[in-house]
This record gives sequence, C-alpha cells and structure tokens, in this order.
Amino acid sequence: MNVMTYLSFTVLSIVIQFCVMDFIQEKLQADDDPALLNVSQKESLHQILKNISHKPHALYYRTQTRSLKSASSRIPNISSALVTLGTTEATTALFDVLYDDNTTDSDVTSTTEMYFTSTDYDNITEITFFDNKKNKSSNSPPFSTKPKTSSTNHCACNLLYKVCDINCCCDQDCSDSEHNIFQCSNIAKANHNEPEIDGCVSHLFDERKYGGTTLDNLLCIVKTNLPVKRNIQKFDQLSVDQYYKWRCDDPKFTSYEFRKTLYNFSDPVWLLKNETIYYLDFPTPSVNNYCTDREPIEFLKQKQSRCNVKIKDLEMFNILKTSEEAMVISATEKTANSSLMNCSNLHCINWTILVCDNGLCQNYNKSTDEVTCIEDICTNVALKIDYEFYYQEFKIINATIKLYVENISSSLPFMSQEINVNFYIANKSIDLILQLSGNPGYIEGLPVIVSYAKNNHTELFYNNTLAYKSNMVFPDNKNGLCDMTHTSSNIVKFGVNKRTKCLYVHPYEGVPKPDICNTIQSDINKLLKLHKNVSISPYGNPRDLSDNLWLNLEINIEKQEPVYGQFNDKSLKLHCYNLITRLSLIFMYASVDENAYRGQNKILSVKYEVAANNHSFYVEDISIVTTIDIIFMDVTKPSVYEYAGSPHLNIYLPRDFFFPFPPNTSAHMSTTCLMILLCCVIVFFANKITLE
Amino acid sequence: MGLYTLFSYNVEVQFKSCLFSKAMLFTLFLTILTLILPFVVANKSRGFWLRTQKFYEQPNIHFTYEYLLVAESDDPSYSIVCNSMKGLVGSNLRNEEHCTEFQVHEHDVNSDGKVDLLDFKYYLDIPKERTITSIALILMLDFQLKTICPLHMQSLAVINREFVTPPSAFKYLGDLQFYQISHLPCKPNMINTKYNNSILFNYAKNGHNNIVDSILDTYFMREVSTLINTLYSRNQNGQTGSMQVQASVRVPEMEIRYTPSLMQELKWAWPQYLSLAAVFYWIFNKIRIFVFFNRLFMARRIVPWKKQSWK
Repeated sequence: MNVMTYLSFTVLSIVIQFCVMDFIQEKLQADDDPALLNVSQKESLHQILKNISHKPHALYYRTQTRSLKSASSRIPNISSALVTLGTTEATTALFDVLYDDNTTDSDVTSTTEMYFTSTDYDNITEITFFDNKKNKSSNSPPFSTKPKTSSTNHCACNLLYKVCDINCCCDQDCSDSEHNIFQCSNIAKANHNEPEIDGCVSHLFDERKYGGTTLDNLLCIVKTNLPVKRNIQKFDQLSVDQYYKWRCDDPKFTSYEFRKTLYNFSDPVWLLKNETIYYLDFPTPSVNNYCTDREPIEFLKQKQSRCNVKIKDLEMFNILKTSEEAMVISATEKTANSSLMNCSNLHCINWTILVCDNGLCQNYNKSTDEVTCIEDICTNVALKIDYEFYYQEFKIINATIKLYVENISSSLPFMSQEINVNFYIANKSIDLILQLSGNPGYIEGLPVIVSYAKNNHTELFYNNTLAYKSNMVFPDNKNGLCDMTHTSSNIVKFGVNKRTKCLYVHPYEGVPKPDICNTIQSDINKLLKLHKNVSISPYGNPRDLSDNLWLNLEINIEKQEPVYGQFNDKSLKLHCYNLITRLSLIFMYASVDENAYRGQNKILSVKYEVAANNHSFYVEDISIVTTIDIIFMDVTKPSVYEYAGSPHLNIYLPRDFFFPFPPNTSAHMSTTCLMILLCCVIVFFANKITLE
Repeated sequence: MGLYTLFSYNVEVQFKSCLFSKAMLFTLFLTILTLILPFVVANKSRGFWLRTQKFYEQPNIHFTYEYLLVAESDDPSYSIVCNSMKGLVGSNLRNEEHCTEFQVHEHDVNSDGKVDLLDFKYYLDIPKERTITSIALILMLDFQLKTICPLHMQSLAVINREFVTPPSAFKYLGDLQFYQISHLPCKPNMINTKYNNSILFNYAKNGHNNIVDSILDTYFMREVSTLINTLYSRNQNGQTGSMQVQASVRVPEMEIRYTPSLMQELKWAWPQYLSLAAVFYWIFNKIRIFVFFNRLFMARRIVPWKKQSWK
C-alpha cells in the first residue's frame, strides 16, 4: 500500500509539474509588474535564450516557448498579421540556429543576418538578442503598414513588372482602389483570424495525428540529432557527390592490346592476318536469345554460348572465313624484342577444321562440305561448333574447330546455334583423353560411367580411349524422330532427372511379315539399350574397383510377356501385343564417406523398369513413340521428414477410473474441463463467503 | 529518530449472516456481478473469442512426376501434348514425339530437408510449318504441412502463357503460394487428407469440356489449393524449330489460416477476463466494505480481538 502511495505521489507531482506549473507561470507573467513591459524585447529574448543556451537540451517546456511568444508579442511595433507568422516561424528559426551544434557564433551572426535582412522578417530584425554591432537594422524605422518600394519589399505574387497583378495585395504597382477591388482588407482580416500555430506543434509532421491541443501541456522535440540540413553556409562542393544525379558513365568497354608476352589467364586468343593482330571472338546473346553481341575467346576460359541467328548470319560462315585468312598466334621469347609482327617472331598455327557428321569427324573439304541449299533443305549446316585449343610449352600448339553438320530446313527464319570453347593443356586430341566423371564420387552433370563388357570393366575403362563407349547414350530426338548416333547428346548424366521421347518409325515393307512385331521390338530394344547387359560404375572414377563392385544391370526382357502380333487384312491394321516402348532407369545414390574422401556421391543401386503395351498400326505408318525416363534418387536423406511428436506417458487406468465423466469423448471432456474451470473460478471468488 | 515499518499484516473482520437473509442475497448478487460483468464487458468490446489464427510454415513440396503440357500452335487442330499418363488424352493426339526432353530438379538450397526450388525444363521440337501460340503447363505437386495443422494434399502449379510472335524460349520465375478460401479445421493429431488425391491421375474426362479446362474447373472448386505467383517471365521471339520452356518455382514460407482450438480460445480469453475481473472485484469489494461497515444489512461483525459472546 505504501508503494502505491509513493507511486501516486510521484504521478501527482509529474502532473503538477506538467500541467499546474504551466498555469502558474502564465499567471505569474500576467501578474508581472507593468513596468517590466518597458523592458525592450531584445533584453527579454536575450534573457530567455541565454537561459536556454546554458542548458541546450533537446527538450524544453512549452512554457518557455510561450514566454518567448509573450516577449515577442509585446513588441509594440509588430503588426498583428505578422506577429502570427513571424512569431512562430522566427522563433523556430531562432531555436534552430541556436541549437545547431555545428554553428559557431560567427555562423549565428551571419545566419541571423541572413534571416533578418530578408524583407519578410524586417520587423523581427529588431529582435536582436546578440550584441551584434554589425546589425544596423536595429535602427531601421519601425514597421508600418505603409508599403515599401517594390525593390526591397518581397512580394511573391508580383509577377508583372510595373503592372498591377490581379489579387496581389502586396503588389505596390496597384493602387488603393485596385486593392479595394481585390478585397485585400478582407484577406488580411481572414489571415489575422487564423488560429495561432503552436511553435511546438509546428515541429511535428501532422498536428491532428499527434493530438492537436493535447500536446499543449506535453513535451515536444525542438531539436533532433538529424544531419544538419540548414547550414547551407558551409556548402561543400564535394557534397554534390552525395546526391543521386543523372549518370554519365561510359559503357563498359575493355580494350585489348597485344602485349607481346606469353599467354596469361583470360587473355584473348590472338590471330594474325597480314601482319595485323586482332583477337578471336564468338557470338553471344545480349538482351534476348538472338546473337547480337560478340565476346572475345579468352585464354583458358571454358565458354558456352547458345543463341539464335538467321541462316545467313551463321557463325560457321564467319569461322570458315577466319580460318582461311588468319592464323592463331602465340607470343614467344623473340616477340617481346621485335617490332615486326609475323610468323618469324610469333608462333603461328593454322586452324584445323573438322566436319563431324554422324559421329565421324574428318577434315573440312571446301568442295564437298560446303553448305548447299536445294529447295528448302540446306545441307552441311553446322549449328553446333566446338573450339578446341591445345596449349603446351607456353604456346597454343593446336586450334581445332569442329563443325557438327546436319541438314536443316531453310524455311525456318531462325536457327539456334551452339558454340563451345574449350582449352586443354595437352598434346593430343580430347577424344583420345580419358575423362572421369568425378574423383572418386560422381559430380552432378557429368556422364554416368558404364561398361558393356562382361568383365574387366575398370581395365577396359582405362584402356578405352573412345569416350562414348563408356557412357550410356540414348537416341536423340531430331525433328521428333529417334536419331541414334555415336555423338548423341542424350547421355545419362549424374543427377539429371529427365524424360526423353522420340518416334520410332519402322520402314514400310508392304504386307507385314508374321514376325514383324518381334522385329519392331528388337529395333526398339536397340534404341532403349535393352539388348545387352550393362555394368555401372558406382563412382565417377572407377579406379581400383573390382568387377563385383560395379553395379550389374541385368536386363532380362525374357521375363516379360512375349511379344506377338496380328495383322488384319480387312482393316490393314497391325496389332502388336506386349510391345515394350518405355524404359525407366532408377539410380539410387547417396553422399558417403569413403576412406579419406568425404561426401562422395556413390551410386548404390540401379534399377530398370519396362512398360509393355498393346499397339495398333496402319501398315503404311508403323511408328511408335518410345520413352526413356531417368531418375536419380538421393537416399542419403529420408524421402519424407517426420517431426517427432510431443512426449507422452502411457498410463493404464481402470475403465471406471473417470466414472462420472463420459470416457473417450473429446467434446464432452472439453465441456467437463470448462465446467471444472468455472467451478474453480466461482470457488475462488466465493471463498470469502463463510456460511458458518 | 524516526520509526520504520518493517512488517505488517492485515486483520480480518468478518461479517456473518444466516443463509436466507438480505445480506446473503446482497453478497450473492455482488458475487454474480463480479463474475458476469467482466465477461459481458470483454465480450461487448469485441475480440474476446479468437475467431481466426494463422501461422507460417514452409511446406514439404515434391513433384509427383505427373504433368500436362499443352503447346497450341497457330493451327488449332495441331497441338503438342506432353503428359505423364497415357489415358489422360485421347489417342488422336499423336504429337508426343515432339516432347523431346523434360528435366526436373528439386533443390534444397539451405539443406534443411525441404525442397526450396523446383526447376522444370521442357525441350519441344516444333515442326517447321507450325508456330506455337500458347502453352499451358500443369504440374502436380505433393504438398505437406507438418507443424500446427497437419495437411497432406495433391496440388497443382499452373503456368499459362500466350505468345503474340513465334517463341523460341519461355522463361518463368515464380513463387508457390498457398491459397485457401476458408480456414483449415486444424484438428490436433489428425492429418487433413481431404484433397490428397491426384487430380490428373483420377481425372475422368467430361465429354463436353476439354481436358485443361476440366482440370482447372475441378481444381477451382477446392477450398485449399496452391497457385504460382508470377514474379518474372519472359519469352524469346524467333521461330527456330524448337522451343525451351524453363520454369523455376520457389517454395517460400506460407501463411496458413486456421480455426483455433478450444484451449487456444481459452488461453486467449482468460487474460482478458481476468484483467477485467480484477477491476470489478476491487470495485465490488469496496461496495461490500461500505455496505457492511455501515450496517446497511444485518450481519454479525466479528473482530478477532473481541470475545464473541454469541457463539
């Protein structure tokens, strides 16, 4: 109880301090000796501001504001209309200036001069609270309603020079009669009747929001520690950089210059053409899929670009032209000291252009491999181009361009071309170099290593130089049709879940043979690689793996229902039953720690599934869509995360333990709980009632 | 030297009366008012009972490998339909071979065991005489909430796009959103499996409507569903004879509204009631003190330090 009393007194004292004292102070001022009114406004303001300057707190009682107001309101020469405006704004300005920590005395002087020499505050210039001898305006004549000359009096609406502006009451070009027409006296009266703006509230953003008159007896913030915005006398030219402004940056442009030094990483690959050196570039997309930009081919940077072009802008034409005219050069020791740039001072090599068709690559022959268009079919068009640079002994020793040619339709307005740039530090072709898919665990996106041999998988892998044989390759989809080539891009890659489809078309043979369905199935089996067993390496690097560690995927389609067919002469329809058209490969892998290697992706198991269906064909069109599904399942993590349930205790009670209450009924139980709770409340409140 | 109060205790003065008396009636009346009035005030000032509650959870999302992609060409009779179920579309649509490749990736970016990003890539082969005018991609997702309101349902992610000019690629980036038209019932220890059935797989074709519209109509009638909020999408112009459709769908935390349980209601209402009841108890206690000390009702006053003669 005592604590409550103390708290009450404390609150009461605060209330007195904030509310009652305000009243008392006003009262005291009202009771001031009238002789004090004769004290000049300069002295009174100076006294107030002196007190404030002793303790320049951010917060101050509104009573001081009022005293300031009172002081200014006692200025005899201030007209009533300007008192309203001048008192509020000038007081604010004065406080702002005085509370500006960064403003020195000289700043104050100059600022006040700036403020007070403005015509709007001519009258307030007389309120000088510093003994500023420079401020001569204190001797200026007191304010009078008599208009001043237009050259000194500020009038915002006086826009017509030496002509009276309509409704501009301060325009001295207007005569009194015109002022009467404008009803200037009414406007001045209306301004005079405006409610007085509280100097404290004017600091707030929205008076209504913060309660308006409620704030009268509360504290308000006059000064904050926000960055100084008003001190424009300290204007710094460098501050311009702190503002956002229109950009005039030049677009990024990197100039390349042949420095006659050995190749460094990311240097452009240089070409020599008639003693002129320039760098090699290739097309890239810029803001859309069209090849609108070109980028230099940079040394040892693997790059890939895929963009659309019109047939006349195909990069292969540019390449063939470049390869004829220019040679790839590498700077040597002699280059740095020579001014003449030719092959005597540089290491020059000619391009090796290979044309790859259906997995077979051969040197480009201009007469036979030139692009030719007959009707709307263009042959020998390369939409995929590989740059291969071989670097050895500080110079590029081989530059090969592989053009993967195909036949395309010229009726298409655009072609999608793919360009790959690869660098190898080797002296033999990448086709002869063994490529691993991880070391030892698989890396996502690299081919799964397989072996079609019966045994000695690891040995054969390391002895095998033809990479495609160690990859699992499925047919490509070319214009919807299954296209099985050695260079098919439909390779099983680790971690890539995909479904591919293509149309198998059986050649028309007239009246179908009795075993045509088996023939179709046999062809499809070859497409789906169901005709031979395959072993899969559990690691991307099968080093030291014995045969029993390879995962054997024994494809036994013999277990499936036998394929058989039936030909209907009348409808010319062929019915094939139990035809396998879909293969699904399911790889299960996990991130495991193997010996010293941590977190290596290891294929734990491989499963295949086939789906057999019945199909009907017209004999003229025996075609069927084949589907290959590949999925990689990470069994490291559980397929579904289950959260642990809340802990509970199994207590076995007799059946009639809660006899009065209905068992196993949650609704009734909750009602019972509610009733018990209510009873407890009643007992709690009624415990004072004693019925003794 | 002043004295300080070091310890104090209250002396209880009791007022006793018989069962059937005005004082008893008055006491009962005030007690009932003390109990009832806080409830009335709390209830009338609104917000006493918790009508709705929400929580945030990142669901477990998995692609169920059921999908339907319909790429319509400038010729309405020619469409490329890629779907996971043979029986979903009729056998007349023989352009399945143009669905060259479909890649799916589920990414757990922050390794918390939940899929954060779903990546879908379609490669379509477009016949040279046809151009694609629109695509409709319907993906089936397995949606699971685990924490407060266990929910397991099969939902759809639908992406639709019309092309003014022949496209060569379409890139779509969006966020999966949980959409509900009513509150989840949220029964404890009970998984809501009302919508845990495959829309695509169990779809029975209505002879009057096309498949895509029928699926959307069925899905539209659900109380709880998912939709994709398009953040960015862009298509590349130019007829190249092929088309790549790439859709990346993020799985963010989702806001789920549910009906609170009884205990949650009470937990919310109890502090409101108690705070008001304390005030009313204090007021009515003052009234009691005034009434009994001024002997407005007949009751025996028992002061501990006086010997009781009536016993």
